[in-house]
Amino acid sequence: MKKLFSNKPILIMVIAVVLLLVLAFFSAGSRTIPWLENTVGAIARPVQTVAFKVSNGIAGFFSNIFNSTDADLELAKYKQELAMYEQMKLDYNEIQKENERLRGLLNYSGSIGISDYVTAKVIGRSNGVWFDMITINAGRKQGVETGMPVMCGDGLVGKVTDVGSNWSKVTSIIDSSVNVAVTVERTRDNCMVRGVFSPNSAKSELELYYLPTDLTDLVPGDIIMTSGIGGIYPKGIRVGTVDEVMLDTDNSGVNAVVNPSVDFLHLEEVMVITGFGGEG
Amino acid sequence: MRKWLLVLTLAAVFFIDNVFADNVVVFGFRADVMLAAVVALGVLAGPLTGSAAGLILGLITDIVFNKIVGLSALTYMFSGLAGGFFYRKFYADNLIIPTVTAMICSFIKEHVFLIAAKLSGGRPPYFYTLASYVIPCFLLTGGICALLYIFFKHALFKPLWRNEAIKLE
Repeated sequence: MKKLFSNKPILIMVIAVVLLLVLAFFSAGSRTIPWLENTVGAIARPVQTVAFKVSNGIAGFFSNIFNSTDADLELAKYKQELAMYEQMKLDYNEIQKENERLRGLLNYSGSIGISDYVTAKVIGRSNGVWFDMITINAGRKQGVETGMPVMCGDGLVGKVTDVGSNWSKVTSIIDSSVNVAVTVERTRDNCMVRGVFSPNSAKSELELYYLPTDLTDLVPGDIIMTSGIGGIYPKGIRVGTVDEVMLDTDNSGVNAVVNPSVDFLHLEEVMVITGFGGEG
Repeated sequence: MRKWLLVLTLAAVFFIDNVFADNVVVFGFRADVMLAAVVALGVLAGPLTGSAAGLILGLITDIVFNKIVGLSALTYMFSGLAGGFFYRKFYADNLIIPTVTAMICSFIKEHVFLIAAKLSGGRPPYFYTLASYVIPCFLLTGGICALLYIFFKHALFKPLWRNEAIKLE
């Protein structure tokens, strides 16, 4: 033991392991981010924003190439003098799309009676498949707190779990540890949905369970929305549509597979609902 | 060792693994480029450089992107250390050692995350996850590590390689 403690590299390694394990233990739940972590996050935020935009640009560029049927003609067509015009057109389209998305977000929030909110851009996604989280560019300074619900124009995104000064982490509803109290719009049945673990990040699903009524009532295409029960999410936010109804033969309580209404892979703007009590 | 080039390469690896990889998901699988880089670096530059790079890259990843802070840092640090275990213990042309080390480290890392996901209330089914994600992921990571090892050896550690200093000590 004495020899072990006299070996500096091993000692440093042991201390690092202990510190990291303690850090992992304390960071597992919802929390306000401590100053050191917050500083690193704040420094990384602008870099992250640029990197995220660049990666989307590169992905879009390659996507255009592979989707093109006549790339050679395309290349010949674009002359040097038109380059600036094309760029302006791209900028215009981008602004128009963003405008449409924000307008949709605004209309949707108005239609379900949400008036206090903060809009934010998605600047990062968790790596790997084990946790589904997104990082947004709004934090404590913008009035964001842990537990606040997050949505976009298409529906419910998740809730804020970690808050930094000008950035936050949002656990999405497709994370397999998240449960949401929901209502079937047509039948008004209350039940729950939870995220399904998927090794393919492009494919996300939810499973609907604890449906108290007869299964025959539920049909594919039924709209699922938040019920407001539990006080975590406001009532009436769209969650998804029923894709497949299943018999509860193994007592797992799963009644249907639900397709989330939000495209989590292409999420760009979100809205943090600040005017809702929530659990935070 | 060309330190700045190394820092730039690691930054590029961080960018590819954390920001760009989500946009290019091939059949749902993504290689752990950062782990592959850390192992390759550990094998070529030693346990201290490998584990330090792993710790820094992992910690930044955890803080900016991940739910649990410290897990990536821990696994990448040990991956760098594992790579460093073979530092100057075999011929530099041997690709099997870094490849297999990266595969083992990736396998262990995914299991650590699987346990963490289970403890956090998630329900990933073990055998389904093993077959559909962990195994393809560690095979891809091994392949990427071999490529990165060749790149690092030529671009960053060429003088050492030319002098055959990475041979048996």
